Amino acid sequence: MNLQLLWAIIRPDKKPQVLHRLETEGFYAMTEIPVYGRGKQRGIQVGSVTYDELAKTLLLLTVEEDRCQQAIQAIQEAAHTGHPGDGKIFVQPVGQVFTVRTGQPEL
Amino acid sequence: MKMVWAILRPEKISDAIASLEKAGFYAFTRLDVMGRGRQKGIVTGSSRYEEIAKTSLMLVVEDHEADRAVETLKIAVRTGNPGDGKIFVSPLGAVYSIRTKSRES
Amino acid sequence: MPVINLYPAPTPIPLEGLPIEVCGLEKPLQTVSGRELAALQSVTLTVPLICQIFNWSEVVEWEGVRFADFLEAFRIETHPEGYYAIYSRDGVYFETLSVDEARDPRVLLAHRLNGEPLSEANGGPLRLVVPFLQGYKSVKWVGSVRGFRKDPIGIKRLLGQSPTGQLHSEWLARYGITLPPGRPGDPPAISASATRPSPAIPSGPVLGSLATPSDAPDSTREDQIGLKGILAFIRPSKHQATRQALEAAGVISYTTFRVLGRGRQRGLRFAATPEGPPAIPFLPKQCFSLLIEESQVPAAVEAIQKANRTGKGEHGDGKILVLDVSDAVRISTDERGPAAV
Repeated sequence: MNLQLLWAIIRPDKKPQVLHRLETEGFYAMTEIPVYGRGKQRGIQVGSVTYDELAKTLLLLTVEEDRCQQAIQAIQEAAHTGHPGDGKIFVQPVGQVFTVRTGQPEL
Repeated sequence: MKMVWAILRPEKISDAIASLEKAGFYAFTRLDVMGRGRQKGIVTGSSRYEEIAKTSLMLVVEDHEADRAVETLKIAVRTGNPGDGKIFVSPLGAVYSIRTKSRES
Repeated sequence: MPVINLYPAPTPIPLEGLPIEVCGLEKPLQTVSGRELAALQSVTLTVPLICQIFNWSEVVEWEGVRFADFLEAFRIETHPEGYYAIYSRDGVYFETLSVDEARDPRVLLAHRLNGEPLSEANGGPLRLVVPFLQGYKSVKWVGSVRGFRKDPIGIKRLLGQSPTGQLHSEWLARYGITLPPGRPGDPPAISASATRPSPAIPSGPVLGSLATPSDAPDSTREDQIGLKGILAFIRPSKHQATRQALEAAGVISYTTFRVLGRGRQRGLRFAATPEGPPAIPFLPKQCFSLLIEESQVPAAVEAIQKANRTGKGEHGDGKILVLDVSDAVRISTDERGPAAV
């Protein structure tokens, strides 16, 4: 089974909703990284102050290819507000995966 | 789409971002990391630093833009000394936007 | 014989008890004992040991096992155009030989010097002897031999010594040394762009139009670049052990950062509340990101697994992902592709 690595960049305040939604859909294993970033709007202007980098949460999930769309849809729906800054999901094919505990080449 | 990862000197980050902007690359993700290259860190006096603080920039660009992004970053941050960092490019399968709930590529 | 050591000598061990880790290309790791090695046919060679860097040489008598016999006896295979890396027990020093160099009958794994058992100071109980290359190729305190498809580039070359370890023609003439037929080690890979003068750094603002690629890659480069990325999520307490294990496997460069993570177990629960949502949904983890040559992937994965497996069957040892990389650049020198690693 081919595996895909999902890089989901979401609003930090949407993290609980996204986690809850992923859990209900059966995606438990993930990594969370606090990052800073911006999209093509180059940050945000509030009055005279420009915030050119905003705090974001990067979630990394490795999923089987046949459940990839389900995970993407779950994140898209749970992280959605409709405003710029909702984030992106990047999908990267994973060549191999190893579980350290067992040493086996499987998830 | 391609994912471009750059590991850079933290003090060069604003130069890197300014050059990327001028080249039309506005979106990126920044992450503070530790790392080392083939020099195995650095020795100053009697202290050995196995890992050095670096900043990592991640951007996702169209396939044909990847080389331009790499060149832009490279010229903006190069000092010519060890520790300038590395840039690597990975192929992506797909990109989705959360706001528009659509697939972008 | 003068003694020049780059790194601290490992703790002494008798030849009989010496474990030698060997690993053929795409084969599992196995351990050979010094006793098994000593049982192979022994040969005696009187050859010069030449340190070109210190302009020093001495003719000595080695006794040991032909490296080719050792490779044959324990079926340590590599690609027909591949390489062998010979590691020192200090866990840092290693050097490489091309297949053609390694199969030369003059290459020994020596355990006796001038009729005496090889002393600890001279690399005992077992060292490599490569009489037709510079002394640094003759690895002391041999502890491991591995096959590689591409030259993993030994430690001396990393430190900027001669690209192939070949002796100057004067040395070759003085001792009448002939080089083995076939391929020498690779010269250090330098991409076409690195040999060109690097582009002038514009003093003004860098415009998008200025920053066009100086060496536009052909589309065939993708997938043939031979590099892989590794993301390993491990216990933070294993950070240093992982660094050391990677170093011993020849992977010096890495990037690391703290992350929060969990596996299928959804974090940790207290024994008092085994049901319901986990009390600690995310645990601190360390993420290692490596950029390595494809041929190094098995060694790197194994090093990470070995350093991180607690062996108690408990969850949380981590995961390793192997990812594709289509291009890599070292910023300081403009080297591209495998040369950038």
